[in-house]
Amino acid sequence: MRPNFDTTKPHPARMYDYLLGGKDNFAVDRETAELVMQSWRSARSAARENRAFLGRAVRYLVRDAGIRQFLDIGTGLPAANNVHEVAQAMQPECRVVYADNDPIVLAHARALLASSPEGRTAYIDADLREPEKILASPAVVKTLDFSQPVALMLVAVLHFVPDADNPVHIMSTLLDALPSGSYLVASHATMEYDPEGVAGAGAAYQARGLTGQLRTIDELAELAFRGLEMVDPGVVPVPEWRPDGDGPRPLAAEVNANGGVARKP
Amino acid sequence: MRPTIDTSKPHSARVYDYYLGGKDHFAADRETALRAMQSWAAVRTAVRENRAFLGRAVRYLVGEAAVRQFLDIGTGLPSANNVHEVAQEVAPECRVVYVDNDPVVLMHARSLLTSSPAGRTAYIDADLRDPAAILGSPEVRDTLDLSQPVGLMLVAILHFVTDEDSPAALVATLLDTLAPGSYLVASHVTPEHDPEGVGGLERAYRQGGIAAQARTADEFAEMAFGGLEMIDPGLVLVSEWRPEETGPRPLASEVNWYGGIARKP
Repeated sequence: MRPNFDTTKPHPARMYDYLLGGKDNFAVDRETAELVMQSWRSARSAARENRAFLGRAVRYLVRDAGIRQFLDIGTGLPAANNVHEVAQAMQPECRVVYADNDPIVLAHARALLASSPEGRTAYIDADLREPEKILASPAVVKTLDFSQPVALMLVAVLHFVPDADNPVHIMSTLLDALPSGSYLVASHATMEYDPEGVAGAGAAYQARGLTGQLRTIDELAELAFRGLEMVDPGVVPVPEWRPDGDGPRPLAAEVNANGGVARKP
Repeated sequence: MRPTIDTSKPHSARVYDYYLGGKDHFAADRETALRAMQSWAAVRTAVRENRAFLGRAVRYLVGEAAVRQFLDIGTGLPSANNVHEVAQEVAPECRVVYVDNDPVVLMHARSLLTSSPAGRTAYIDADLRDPAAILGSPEVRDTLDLSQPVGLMLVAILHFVTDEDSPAALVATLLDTLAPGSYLVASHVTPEHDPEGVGGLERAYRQGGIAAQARTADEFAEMAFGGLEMIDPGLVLVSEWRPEETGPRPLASEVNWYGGIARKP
């Protein structure tokens, strides 16, 4: 199958790739990302911090929570800290299903499918707004054992789902399908630390036809983590979530994203 | 002694503190920082990478090169990764002399003087442009044994010494006094990867009365590391000097800053 690329419209996955210094992006993605950076000048730092949060969260789940299965929705283009690389570096038997709605991610999925022999990875071309389709897909059914805990990864994706798309329903559909002892990792862009910069960035996304919704730390907690047991330190700016090392960390007003990890009781 | 502080003029140490999210700066410092950030948007990222490089360099010197004494010139305000904290965590007997020419750093020196009982720290209010005053100071003579190797730290300071002040001669004077087996750690801003952005920062500093001169890798190498044995990986972006984490690293055009370590034969 040959995916169709619409190179006239930016895609968040390709913009994120550009911010991270990747090569899998088109002129329209770069232009939109540059427009974002005119207002949110540290957007590159924010993308890196979010990606580093993903890595620390996966390490926590494998090492401290005994998780061996992951469902990563909104994967983005392969970059440093792909979930299976981080997880399988610690426990080669880990299994990961990746899902993204950008056909260019599908085109690069081979790099995500380089599983260790003991483990397994799969990729599905799907949208977070269709959780039933994700859960019923053969890739998910064959790769993950839903009688055992699964970590659901929603890293930097929920802010592309406005309230009109009923994210509450999406969350409950996904979490209801997972057994007790499963985990949720979520991060989300917010306006609360640099309202002006982030508002300008949001306007750049919208001007190019990308819908989304910024949410505060409280709104994220309510939407994603309600009814779950938060892992310490709770929902925090992503650089503050169990940082590695003792070096200086970026300010909340540079990163403008909150995140957390929680366990389903 | 009560230092005299001219709050009408910015000082590089306080501007740096502002970038790092510290609290020890005045309106003039913030104004210069904000003007610099207009031009080099990722300067906060760069400053953090420089500070993290400092930490890795000290850990290398104590852990792998068995250095136990440090002369840190251009210390700046206390922050994450103060030299004695990093060094004494590995070897509590480490001795550190801090040097800065900003009276505000002098005021905060108490938190640099929190040595472990096994080691020792001292602070002198002095300027890199007067190496004789530094080397002849009672603090240096009482704290450091110059017959033994010393780690000379010139981190993010040489770009404040313009060519007319002969920075190469200053480095040579300092190194001549140190025993064979001593090390130099130095980092320096470069115009190579984002000439426009870094040029704008230089102008912002000069407008505030701070001399600043970015130098290329070759100019920096010749000025600081001539005649020394470079430690792997040589003179590289500070973010690429033996990085410790697996996460994505910033682009060269964000960091704009070289660093390296060399041994005096």
